[in-house]
Amino acid sequence: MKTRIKELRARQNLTQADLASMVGVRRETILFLEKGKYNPSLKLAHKVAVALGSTIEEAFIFEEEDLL
Amino acid sequence: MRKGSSNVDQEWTIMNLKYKAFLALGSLLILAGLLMLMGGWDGGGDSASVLMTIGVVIIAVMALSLWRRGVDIEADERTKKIGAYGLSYSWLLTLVLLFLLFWIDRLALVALTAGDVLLAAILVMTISAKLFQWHLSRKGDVD
Repeated sequence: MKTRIKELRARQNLTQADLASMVGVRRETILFLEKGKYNPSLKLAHKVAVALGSTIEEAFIFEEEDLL
Repeated sequence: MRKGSSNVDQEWTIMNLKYKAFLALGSLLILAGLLMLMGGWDGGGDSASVLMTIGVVIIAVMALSLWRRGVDIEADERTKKIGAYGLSYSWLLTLVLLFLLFWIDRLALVALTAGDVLLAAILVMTISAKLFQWHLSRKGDVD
């Protein structure tokens, strides 16, 4: 899974800690989300997308192999 | 006020309550130990020093945990998931160990006492759970 969280976060001028605080998770979770290493719940994906003024489809990019 | 800060505030309130409870418990144990020593109710045993040591350890662990985490929240969906998977893997490993110990005992390869088996299970469960959780935490997710 790839994400555009880092890019969208930079656009909003937010730090990882800011975003973590906004969505109620630890900073490391944002770090792993940005690296595409953590597969979030639908609820968290929605919270992150809303916090970044975006949509889930924009923030999270699922590839064919992720959906298998 | 930042959006979503109420989540963090709520988390901090819960954490503060938890830390206060542990601080009270640790202090209570130290106080009980001191009273036992001063009142001469220790009976010549080590009960008072054991109580005080447990109290000091509880407070020290709490302080260390607070220092390491800083202002970050205690747990979120990722850490809870990792915690649960770590415990599951540890449970499975302990089951394998107990299965092996059963056959070692059945085939009389080593003379095992109930104490040996209990100690092995306690050590393997606690240490492996922490190791699995540490590994998954470094990896980022359970998949």
